[in-house]
Amino acid sequence: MQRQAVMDALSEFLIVEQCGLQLYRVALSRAQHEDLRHQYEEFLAETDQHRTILVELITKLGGDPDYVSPTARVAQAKANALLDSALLIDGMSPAEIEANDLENVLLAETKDQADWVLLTQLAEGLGDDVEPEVQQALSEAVAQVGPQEDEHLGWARTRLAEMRMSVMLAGPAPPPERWESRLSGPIPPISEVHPAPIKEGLLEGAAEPAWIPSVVSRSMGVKAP
Amino acid sequence: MTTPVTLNPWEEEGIPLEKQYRTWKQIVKEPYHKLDVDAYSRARIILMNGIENAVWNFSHQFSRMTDNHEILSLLARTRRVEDQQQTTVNWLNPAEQTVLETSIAYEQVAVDLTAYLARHEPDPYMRESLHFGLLEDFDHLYRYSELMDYLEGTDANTILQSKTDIMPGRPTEHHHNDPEARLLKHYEKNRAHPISKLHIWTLLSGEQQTRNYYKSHGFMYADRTARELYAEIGEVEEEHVSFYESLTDPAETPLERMVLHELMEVYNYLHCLEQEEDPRLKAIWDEFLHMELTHLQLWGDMLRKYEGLEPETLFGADLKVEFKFTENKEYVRHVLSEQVDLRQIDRHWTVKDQLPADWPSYEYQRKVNADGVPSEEVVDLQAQRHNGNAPHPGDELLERARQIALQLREPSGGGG
Repeated sequence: MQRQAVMDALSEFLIVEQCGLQLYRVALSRAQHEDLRHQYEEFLAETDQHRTILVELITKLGGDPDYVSPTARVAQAKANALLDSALLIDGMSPAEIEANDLENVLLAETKDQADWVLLTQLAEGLGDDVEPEVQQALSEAVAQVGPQEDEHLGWARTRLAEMRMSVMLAGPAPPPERWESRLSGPIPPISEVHPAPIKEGLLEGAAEPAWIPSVVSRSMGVKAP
Repeated sequence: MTTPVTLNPWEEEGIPLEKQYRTWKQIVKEPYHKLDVDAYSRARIILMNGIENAVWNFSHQFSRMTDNHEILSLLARTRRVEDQQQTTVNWLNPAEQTVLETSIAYEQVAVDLTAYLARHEPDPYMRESLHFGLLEDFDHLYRYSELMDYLEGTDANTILQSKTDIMPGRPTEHHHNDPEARLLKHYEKNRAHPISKLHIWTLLSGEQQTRNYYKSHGFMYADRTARELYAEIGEVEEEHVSFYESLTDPAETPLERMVLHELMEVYNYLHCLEQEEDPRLKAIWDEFLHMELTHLQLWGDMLRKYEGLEPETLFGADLKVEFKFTENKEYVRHVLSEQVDLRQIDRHWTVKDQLPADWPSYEYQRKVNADGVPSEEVVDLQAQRHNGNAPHPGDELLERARQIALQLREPSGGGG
């Protein structure tokens, strides 16, 4: 066993659990559907247990749970980017915000579940150079956590699809206030938000279209201005 | 080096980065003479100093958010050049130019920069945002002109060269808003016209510099009225920074913003080069433009490498110079006549008579204006001092402006 590589990976998996805990807390604080709240509470508690199990596992392996590996830092940054999406929710309806929180859970659980699949493979592939008690600790951990991670991921995927399908087929449609603070989409003419817009004395550039084709069109070859 | 009015900034050859560091003697040039320099040459110097400081500041913010060594290294290298450029540009200002004279020049920059950008701005919402700020900076110019006459006995037109009017705008006592009231809608980074982004970031850089200048120089006067006026207008400039930055899309990535900052520098050095008639200054703009072209292209490479996006896709292949410092007197008078009574509320505008009684800015104005308003007190001081008589040539215009300022006062004072 390459001890340092394993300790680096465990540090990364531990911080993924920590970030998962934070994501569940945030999602729980904003969830409006009762079933979501219930499920978030349950999975939050389980994620908390997973964190404890990983700390114990690292300790049994002779490692330091306070060690933060380089890959752990990157994993944390990725999870923080999910949390930071809350800084860009302007224009989203409450239903869209709730779905975004669940999507964050789905993305985080995808990584989390992959981590535990990897640990399962590691438990099965460890050679004779590893002490039996370490092998046993790892096997017990994956036996307990693995199925729960499968459940977390499966639920998030299914529930998110249900939620979004429901909105797309039955509504409610996002309200027009979604455009309240962004200069894109169907904003009203300037005369609706300004009592005396200036029309005289403008120069050539003011006649250009205010909006250009999106970055997708432009990267597909539509000529930018 | 010759430079077209339109250029492809991603391909135009610049000065290699390793050749951009300069000696102390090259960094520090001879300053201009405050009475000989063209007002708009001085304006270009003030603007470019603000832009260099803005890019320096952003580069540091970016550095504090990455541990990618390749990016950190390029930030450090380009930032050192920006820092030397800033020194060169700001050191063109002469020691003989007083803080107040420089403040007058700052407001001239604000007025003629904002007016011309507004006239070119394609997005009507952003255009009206610029008009709103324009009438406030226009009023600051008048208030500082009164202070200059009061403290130094000098006509502000020695600085302005009669290219910009000295008249009350929207009175400064009404510029003090509840902080949230200053927030606007922001552009959407995928759809906004690149020129709109350049306009806003240019103006934001200028306003930030103005705020920093007033806050770092206002205390240098012993006179209480001067110290208070700098405090009052300095805070309005802080409001302007909040106001204009709220127009920018927070979804822009740090790399995207870095490219945008470099493009802003290229855009502005290009119009400086095009418009400047003093060959000594023109040579500086030419050299710095070609430094910035290299910075822009290096950061474009980083965008390509780390975000998989061609910079041309984001900002277009060609860059057209659309800005110049020029007189906008007629235009500003027109905006003033149409919009002096406008106020901001909930990310839009209304006339003051239609504001709700619980408009949050009323409360803020009652608070800060409770013990007197420096921007009005300087008018009173001047009115009492001259007793209605113009003591020396040039004061007739200021006297006329003062009469208008006094007429603009509302009986109740405070709100609206």
